[in-house]
Parts: sequence; structure tokens; C-alpha cells
Amino acid sequence: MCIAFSCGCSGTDALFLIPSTVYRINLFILVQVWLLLFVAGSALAQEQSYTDAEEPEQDCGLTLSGKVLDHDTREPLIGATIYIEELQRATLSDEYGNYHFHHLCRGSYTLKVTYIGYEPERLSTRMSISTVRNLTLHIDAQRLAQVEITGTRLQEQAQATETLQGRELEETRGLSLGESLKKLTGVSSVQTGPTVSKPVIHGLFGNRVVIMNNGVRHESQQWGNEHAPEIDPLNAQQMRVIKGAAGVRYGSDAIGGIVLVEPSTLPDSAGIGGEVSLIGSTNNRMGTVAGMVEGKLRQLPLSWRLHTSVKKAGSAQAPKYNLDNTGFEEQNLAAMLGYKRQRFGAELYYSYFHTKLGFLSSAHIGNLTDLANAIGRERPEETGSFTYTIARPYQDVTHHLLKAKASYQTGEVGELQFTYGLQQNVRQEYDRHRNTGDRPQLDLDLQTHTTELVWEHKPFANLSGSMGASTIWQNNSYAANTRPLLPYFINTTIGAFVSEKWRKDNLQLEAGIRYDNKSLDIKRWNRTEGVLRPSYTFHNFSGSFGALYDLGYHVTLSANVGYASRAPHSYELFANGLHNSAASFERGNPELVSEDAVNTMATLNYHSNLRLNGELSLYYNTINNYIYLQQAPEYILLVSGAYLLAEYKQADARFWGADLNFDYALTNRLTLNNKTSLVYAKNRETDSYLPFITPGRTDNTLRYSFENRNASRLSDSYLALGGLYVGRQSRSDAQSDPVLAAPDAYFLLHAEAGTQLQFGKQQVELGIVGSNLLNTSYRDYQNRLRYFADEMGRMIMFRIKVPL
Amino acid sequence: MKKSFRPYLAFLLMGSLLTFSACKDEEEPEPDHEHDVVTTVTLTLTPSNGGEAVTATWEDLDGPGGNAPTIDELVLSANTTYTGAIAFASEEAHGDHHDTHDLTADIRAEGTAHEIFYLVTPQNLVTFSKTDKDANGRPIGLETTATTTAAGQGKARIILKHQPGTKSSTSNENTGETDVDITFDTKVQ
Repeated sequence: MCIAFSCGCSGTDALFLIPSTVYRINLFILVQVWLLLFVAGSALAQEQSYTDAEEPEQDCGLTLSGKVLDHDTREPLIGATIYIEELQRATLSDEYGNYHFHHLCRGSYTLKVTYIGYEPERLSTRMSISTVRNLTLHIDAQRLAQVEITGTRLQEQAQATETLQGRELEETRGLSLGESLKKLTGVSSVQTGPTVSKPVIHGLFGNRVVIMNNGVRHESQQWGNEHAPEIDPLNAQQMRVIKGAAGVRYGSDAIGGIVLVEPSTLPDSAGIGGEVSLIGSTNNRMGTVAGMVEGKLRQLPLSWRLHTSVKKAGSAQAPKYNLDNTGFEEQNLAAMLGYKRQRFGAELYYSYFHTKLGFLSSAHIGNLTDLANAIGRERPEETGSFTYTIARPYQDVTHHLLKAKASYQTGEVGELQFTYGLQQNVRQEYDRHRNTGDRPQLDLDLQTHTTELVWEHKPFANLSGSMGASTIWQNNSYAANTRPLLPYFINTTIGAFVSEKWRKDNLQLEAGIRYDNKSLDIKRWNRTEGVLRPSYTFHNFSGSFGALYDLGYHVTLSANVGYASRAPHSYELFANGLHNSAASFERGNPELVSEDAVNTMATLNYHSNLRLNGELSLYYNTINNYIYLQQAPEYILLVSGAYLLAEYKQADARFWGADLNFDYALTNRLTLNNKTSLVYAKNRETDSYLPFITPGRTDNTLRYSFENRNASRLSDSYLALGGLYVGRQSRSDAQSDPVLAAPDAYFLLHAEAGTQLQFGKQQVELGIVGSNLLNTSYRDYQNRLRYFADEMGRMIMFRIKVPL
Repeated sequence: MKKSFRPYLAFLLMGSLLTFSACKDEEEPEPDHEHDVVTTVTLTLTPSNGGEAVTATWEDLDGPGGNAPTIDELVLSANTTYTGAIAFASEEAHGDHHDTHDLTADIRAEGTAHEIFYLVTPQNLVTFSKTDKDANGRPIGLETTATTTAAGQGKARIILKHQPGTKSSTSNENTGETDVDITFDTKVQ
């Protein structure tokens, strides 16, 4: 048995360690290999479970189940913890109060039942056959008065969501927002060199992904592929991604999905606390210091928090050369103040984000001849050597966010929330041309005011939901004598929505509708006609309908149809300028209309099992009037020579694909995790490929968690080794990628380890993450700088967190 | 129920107040003009044996995009040696406003990071040789000697390269980033 197990393990290792074999296997075969491994693994697991038994010759297929009930009222208790001391196994009662343990062997067990507000119960049971046993708890009268009970379901909504939190989030500390989110299935990133990364959900990105930063819609120059979201991920306690068209709650535009970045809630008990984190890495020799202090006053219901982080990195290293001028620095500050009374609550939040990031010097080129020369080179023309200095070309971006939120309990029926957000985004780009003074060549200033009023009502005859209205007012301008890439504009959007959920027994139905009216007033300067003032009005509807069915046996099925529409951005309408890293001149199209998407998704969730848990979702997204940048066949002649001409076009498109994410516990300590996502896209009108679509990818990680020993200083220690395989984008051709064909598939090895150290009363969290461990030279299809340079080589990142 | 909607109204008013007090519409876009974009290139060739100087101008006053540039023809005499000078400027002209920023001095000051290349087809139509040097003793190409022999017709392509850190004894017109790449139709008579 032991031999059989190690066989399975070395089988996995073989897949990780021989990348050359993996390269040749196409993704489907790879998936099949995993499935096979799986079957072998589950056979193994059956065997394995015998070792847990006291008497191995006995039957170990027994089930212990029942209900957890309030002793007096006989009401089911949802979310009570039932723990078998002998096996160190725990489960939670579900929403009907049911609990169950499978694969138990015959014998005596001690059950410990705990539930907030109730006295804990300890009882023994003797199992010889599968048993149904109801557990009753007594109210703990003394505690109940002060305790607030919150319960969450495993799945709240029919639409597929992914959450990055806890250990997985900790492992991304030190990375940018876009790089962190790549941990989630179905999420990838569009990159511009090693410093700029934007989240991509199911192949869609930029203005099609709405980012909610602490409850406020993040408004910046997201039309640009080389404009990363201006958010400090170190301040986030949770990042959630809602996949697929989801315009109802947060406004139109969310054709691809929504990213919710949420800081942790303010402390609710009096006192002062805090933490300090230090992060460092090899490769670009990045150093990050982050600190947080928070507290709550004793006399007043007032809580506060201050968070700050400072980051500095030098130029990144590809395996064979230095990536010249790719250093960056970042400074962040966030302050939060909360006031909470029984019926009324208020919150004030301010955050400051500033970054200065270098651009690969050899990617900033002139005309087409330069581009051809750059592509022809083995390595970039200028490689230089490691430095922290950031020279031209670079970006300097500042983002301020001020948020004020008030909430008021409207009697017993619900809660009213009002949120106001003020944002200022200043983006300055410094080109590498003759530096006449210290002025930037692009200097955009975007100011946004958002308001939102939402009334969430409590369940009323199986129905719960919310309704609300929101406004956005936005003003964009550029500094005098800089590049008029984007015109002046004022955007005024007013929207209203209703979203309701109906729940009965095992079924949940949800529906929502939203309307947004967007008016766009543009002012642009024309040489012959002076100031032109075109203006537009767009009517955008969003809708969704979903169903969630709890099939029992740990299976939840859900399906969702979402409709979202997005008005064209001013950039898509009036872009007029050079894109230096693409040797292309981009031109907007004033005739564009709103694009709209119907996204159908089905998800199967298999949860709360002993060995195998996971989720599979399939989606099909039809986008009408999809706006994309198409290279024109002709060139444009400028003073610096010939450039490619790229113009915004519209066509009906189709996106489809699948996300798979599962954990398989090979033993109690060793878990295999698989994350696979496939995206396909097509232009339905011309039946041709769309450029820049995420290639298929699969990430497999084997994680070993060490046992917590009472005497040890270490706890929650783990070791993990994994491999990421990204296929070649075979669905590309000379029409979709006229400049350079899609790069080859690649395989990267990664490893993670972490532990918690106890020094007397002081706890310290330690972690180490290694990426691209084999120092593989590769290029990624969705990195815009793939024409010029390889990706980053091996990087090892260390982190220490000290709670104070 | 009615009572519970009173705060809603208060909130709504608060929201609209904040929104609309913030509106302002006085800002006007400035004429679209980037000070660093070369709009005008003037090549001046003075015969060394006296006589009138020949100028050829390449001009695109509205910068990248917009209207097409206007390009002069370069007309030279056969069997003549000229002293050449080239000037780069960023100009703007709209209404009664006319503004010129000369960029030639900047290029000379940053001579170690710039070089101008003269590529003539057919090769023997005009021969340009650079007479100025940067701080490292490498040619810049703002000042030249141009020599013609037999009459003929062809093209003179002038390339201004930005070569920060890469200008060397081996660098050529394929090194670095192109700032200017223009072509004059050329006639020697």
C-alpha cells in the first residue's frame, strides 16, 4: 500500500519535472492524464483510509449523520461545528442543521459540538453500523446577549465567483494586483513587461472588467493595455472575482466580470493592534515594507486604521540578460475611520497610491523599420546591467480615493446605504525622445465623483434583495502641450437597479435588472475647425437570471444568464496617437455603438467531501458589436517614418470556455490542487480569430501540510510544489497577429512554503515563494513586450509578518 | 414603511448635491500640439564656390495624423560641392498664433545620443559626409558636405536616430530609435 502511494507521488513528480515531455502533450491529453491520475488516486485513497482505522480488518464505510438542534425550540442550528476528537475531523451543519461524516470505521468516538451562543456539548457514541444521531444544544444565556451571529452559505449566488484570501492571498504578497489575481481559475493577465499587469477574466479585460476598490468603482485610464490598476493589494484582505457579464449591481461595462478588492473590516473590540510585514525578492531585488495600526476607542463606537506600504524594485532579470529599465517604486497610504451605532453607521476612507515604473528601454521604438529590427534581434538592443534607477521611458501615476459611506437600519426590514467616492487619477508618461526639460509627453488628469444609494431588504416571504441608484460624474483633461491621445470629456452616468433572490428548500432563483444612461460630452481641438464638441448619449441595460439548486450529496448545480452592455470609451471613439511600443498609430472611430453581451454559464460544485472537492464551470458568451483594435492594411507616414495604422472596429464575437478547479486529498496531509482554464474566441462575422486571447493553462500543485504539535514552536507549516503549463495560442494567424506569430507553449515550476513561529507570546508568520524555478526562457502571448524580450527568470520571494 | 423612506430622500438629496456641485465646464482644450514632435525639417545646401543656397523643407504642422505633410523637391547643380546644414523644429500655426521651437540645438547638445544618416539612391547621385563631431569624437551629421557629380534623379532619405547608450563605432541607421525618417525627391541638373 505504501509502495502504491509513493508510485502515485512519483508519477506526479514526473509530470512536473520533465517539462520537455509536457510541452509535447496537448492540453486535453494533459487533462486526461490528470483524470487518470485521479482514478488511480481515488483507488489509492480508498486503501489509504484503512490506515486511519483502529482495526484495519473492519468495515470503514460507515456514516454518522443527523441534525443539530436547539434543545428547547427544536430549531435546526446552521453552521454548528461537530468535531470527532479521535480522528481530528470536523464538519459544519448545513443550512437545514444536517451534518454527516463518511468513511468512518467501527469503534467509539467522542463528538464535540460547538455553536456560538450555546453551551458546548461533548458526547460519546459507539459505531457498529451507519448511525443517525441528532445533537441538541442548550442556549448559553450569559453569552447570547453580546454575540452577533453571522452565517454564510457555501455558495451565495448562481454566478461563478472565485475568492483569493487567507494563505493563497499571503503567497501573492509583494506582487501587483494583476499578478495576484492570476492565482484564480479563469483569471489571467495582460502584461506590458514585468511591471505592468492587468487582470483578464475569461479572455476579457480593460474597460470590460469593473474593479470595485473598497466598495467604490475604480475609475482610471483603464483603456490602456499598459495601464495597471492603481490599487495596493497589500491593503486587501480579500479579492473576489465574479466571472462573466455582471452589470446589475455595479453598473454597466462589466461584460467580462468584476473584481472586488476588500480591506478587512475595522476592529469591533476596544484596543490597539497592528502588524508589520517585510517582503523581499531575488531577481529584481524588490523590497517592500508594509505597516498597519488599528484600534477602537473605549468611550465612543469609533474605530480606525492606518495602512501604509512602500515598495522599491530594480530592473528585472530574464534568464539570459537584464531587462533594462524595468525597475519600479510604489508608495501607498490608506486611512479609515468607522463609526457604528445600533441603527446608524458611517465610514470615511482615504487612500493614496503613487507609482513610478520604468518601461523596457528597447521596447520604446520608432517606426516600422525599428520594429522589424527589434524583432529580428535575439536579445534587446540595450540590456545594460542591474540598477534601481528609473530612466525614460517611464510612467508616473498618482491615484487618490476619498470615500464616505453611511448606513442606516430602516426598522426591521432592511438597511439603507449611501456611498460617495471622489477619485483623482493623474497619469504622466515620459517618452524617451529628446528630453526637453522634465515634462511628460502624456499627462492625463481624470476626476471622478461617484454616488450610490442602496436599500437592502431582509428576507420577506423567501425573498431577499436590494435596489438602488447610482451616479458617476467624470472629467478628463490633459496638460497643455502634451500628447492629445485622449480628448477632454465629461461623462455623466445615472443608473438604477433592482436585484432579488427567492429561496425555498433546495432552490434559489435570482433575477436583476438595471438601466444606465450615459452621456458623454467631448471637446477636442481640430486644426482647421477649432474646438469640436461632439456629444453622445447611450442607454445601457443589464439583466441577469440565475438558479442555484442544492442537489444534496454535496453537489450544487447553478446556471446563470447575464446580459450586460458597455458604451464605447472616449478612447475608442477618439483615440489619435502613437503607441510607441507597438509601432502603431491608433485611431478611434466616432461611429461606434454600445457593445452588449449575453453570457450563459453553468457550474457544478462538489463540496464538503473528505477527498475530492471542486468546481467545474462552462460558459458561452456572445458579444454583439465587440469593439477591437484592428491593424489596417495600409501604413501611415509620419515625420519619423512609416507606422502601422490600427483602427477601432466592431464585430459580433463569441467567447466560450471552461474553468476547472479541484482539490484532491491524497492523504490527510497531502493535497493535489488543479486549476485549469480554457478560453476560445472567434469573430462571428468573418469567422476569424480575435487577437490577444488567453491561451489554455493548467496549474497543478502538490501541497503537504505538517501536523501541528503542541510542543513545537512551529504551526500551520506547509510545503508545496507545482507546475504551470501554458499552451501555445494556436488560434492565431497572420490576420490576428500580423507582426509576430504567437510564442511557444511554456512550463514553469513553482514552490511555496510557510509557517507560523511562536516566540513566547509573539507570533511571526514566515513565507517563501519561488517562481520560474528552472529559470526557463519564455515569452507570453499576452505580454505586449513579447516582440522584444523574454519574461523574468527565477524569482524567490521571502516574507515576514509580525502581528503587534 | 413610509416613514422608513424619509432618510432615503435625505440621502438622495445629499448625493445629488455632491454630484452637481462638483460639475464644472469652463476648461477648454488647448490646441493639440506636442512640443517635442518634429514638424519641420529644413535642409540648407550652400554652394562652396558662391551662389544661392538651396533649401528643401519637409513640413507637417498638425503633427502626427491629420493632414499629410508637404515635402519640397531637392534640386541641385551637377559637379558642385555644397556646405550642408539641417535644422529640426517643432512648429505650430493656427489662426494668428505661430510658435516655433528649434530642436537643433537640443540635438547638438545631446550629440552623443544622436546621429543623422543620409541615404541616397542611386548612391552616387549626391555624397554626404558629416563634418561635425560629438563629445566622443563621433559624427553627428547636423553639418555636412554634399558633393554632386553627374546629372540624374533619385531620392535622399534622412534619418535622425536617438541612440542613448548605443551610439558607437559600430552603430548605424538600424541602431536605436527613429525620431525622423523622411525622404526628399532629389534632382541633380
